[in-house]
Amino acid sequence: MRVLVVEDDALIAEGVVAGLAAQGFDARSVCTGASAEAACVDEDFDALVLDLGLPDTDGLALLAALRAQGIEMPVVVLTARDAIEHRLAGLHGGADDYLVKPFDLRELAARLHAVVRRARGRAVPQIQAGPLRIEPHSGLAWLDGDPVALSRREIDVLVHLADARGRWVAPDALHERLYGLDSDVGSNALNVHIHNIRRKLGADAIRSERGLGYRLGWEAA
Amino acid sequence: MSLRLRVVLIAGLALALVWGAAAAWLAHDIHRNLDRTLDERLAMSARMVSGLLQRAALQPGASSPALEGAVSVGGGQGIACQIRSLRGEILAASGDPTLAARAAPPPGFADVETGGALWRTYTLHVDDFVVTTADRVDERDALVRGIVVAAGMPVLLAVLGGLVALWIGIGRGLAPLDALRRQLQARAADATDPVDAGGAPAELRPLLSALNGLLERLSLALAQQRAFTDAAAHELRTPLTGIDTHLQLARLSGGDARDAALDRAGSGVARMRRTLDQLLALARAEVAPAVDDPCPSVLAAVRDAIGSGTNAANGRVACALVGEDRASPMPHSMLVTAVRNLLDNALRHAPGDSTVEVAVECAVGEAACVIRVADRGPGLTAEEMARVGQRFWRGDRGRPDGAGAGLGISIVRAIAARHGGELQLRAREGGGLVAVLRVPAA
Repeated sequence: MRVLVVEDDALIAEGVVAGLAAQGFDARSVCTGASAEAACVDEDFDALVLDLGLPDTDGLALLAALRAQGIEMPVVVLTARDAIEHRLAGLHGGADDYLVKPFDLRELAARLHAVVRRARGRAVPQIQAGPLRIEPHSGLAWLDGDPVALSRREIDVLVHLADARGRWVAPDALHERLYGLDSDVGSNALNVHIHNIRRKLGADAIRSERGLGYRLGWEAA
Repeated sequence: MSLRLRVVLIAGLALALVWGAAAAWLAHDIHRNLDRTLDERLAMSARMVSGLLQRAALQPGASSPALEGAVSVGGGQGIACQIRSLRGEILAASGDPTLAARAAPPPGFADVETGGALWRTYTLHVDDFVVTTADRVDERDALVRGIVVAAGMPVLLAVLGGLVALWIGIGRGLAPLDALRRQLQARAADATDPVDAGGAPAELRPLLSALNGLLERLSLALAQQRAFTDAAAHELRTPLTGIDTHLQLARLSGGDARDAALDRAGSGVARMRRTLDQLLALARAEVAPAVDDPCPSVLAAVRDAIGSGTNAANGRVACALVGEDRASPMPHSMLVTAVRNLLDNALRHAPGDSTVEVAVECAVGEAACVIRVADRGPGLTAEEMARVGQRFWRGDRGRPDGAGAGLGISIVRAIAARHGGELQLRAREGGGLVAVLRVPAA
């Protein structure tokens, strides 16, 4: 899951990015409102972690600007001010959740999973597709009730395909959702993951069609 | 004592005093006039009796019925009457017999005491007779008392009624004060909105406008205080969050990643300590110095400030004295803190290889010394110049490390304001910033 962390304090940004990475997220950070806006326009993120006190703009103003551009990704607001007014302003301003600094990294991860899940229209924290069951927040998967060892990336691929709800996902789109615009990752990496998933779950797990892309082999519940 | 009681007491006492004086004067006047009238009546009675005696051409020793008749004419209406021979024998008498037993009073008016009572007498010598008429003084006094009571009762009632009217009237008159009291009592403890002066009487308006002025200043001070604590909480919470995040990270990871996280947590602790030190310095700068800390040499204080920096900073600071070194009435430690903060700012913003120039300019006879700290940093834009010195505002926000707490200039300004100094920031010719700190010289 790709997360953009907008935080002006280098120490916190570094910690949050590393903490999210340790919990299976693919996070990167920017320290100004302008660079955050640019990053959101250029790339696809699953969620945004937004600090309200930014040097160049107010976090809420940035949030309003993003929403005005039709960017609907879930946003978790970080605030150092725990007065109820600040929290309400964040929620009314279009945030999906908030955390007061200092916060628990595991709680941040859990809240990110929850807001992403809700944003994709899933009420339960698990994805069920045919014989396959996935827990995105823990990274665990089961096939016909038996645990299957899948890597983080493999879980991410399956979650993205499940969230597409039966539609075809173009390889480029899937690649970008997984790796962003990171040019260091070769186009072969995705093929490797698809191959490994098919090896572990069976060839029917992911269908591919030239010119259309990929689709989950089972209908997601 | 309530205002109402006070006013009623003052006005009531004055009123009672004036009315009392008027009543006393009236009573005295009544007494005098009545005495004169009664004296005249006494004399008239005596003359009437003597007229009768002359007309009848009675001789002493004549038949007493005629004399008795004359006495009864002169007497009556509370007046005693006696007719005596020139030798002093009583020929006829009416009224109190005790008076008759006494020797004849002197001619004209006299006060005579007999039988325990005081008499007012008038004695007239006519031919061979001595005619005396007399009034009892206590009866006269009773008459005066009666008149005074009759005339004084309405006055007393008027005074008492006036006091009651005063009490009620003043109570009514003070109603706006009472309304104001209720309005103030009904306010919340932290309400700083102005008190409504709309219906207040003219006398209360200056008080209310003074009160509203005070409330306005209070509200401003409260807002500043709130902004300061809010910002202070934010400034402390940010490094705390960094520390907390990296400690959690250290728990989540192992090996090199854990060491790196602990390292970063340590740098957060250092930053927090800096912020706390600066907050304490600001608090110290704002209160009067408690200890005796003389500053015999401004130059020595500046050298101390340069020496208290890190070794790396030492080589980058050039210090020069222009004129004569002087003593300063401000505490040595405060001057060191102020210069240290200016130096920190200059060193933080100046390029790594440039020199920060410090000049101490003192002259004999001048009231102030000038300390100039000049750097070749980026300087300040007009907008930044307006914001610098706002607490927790940092010109270097967004820069990764070595960031200050945003309190340095606030501390210098607080120290300068406390000890009669002044801080000015100016653009330096050729690029950079000059901080000019003017401190009083002793």
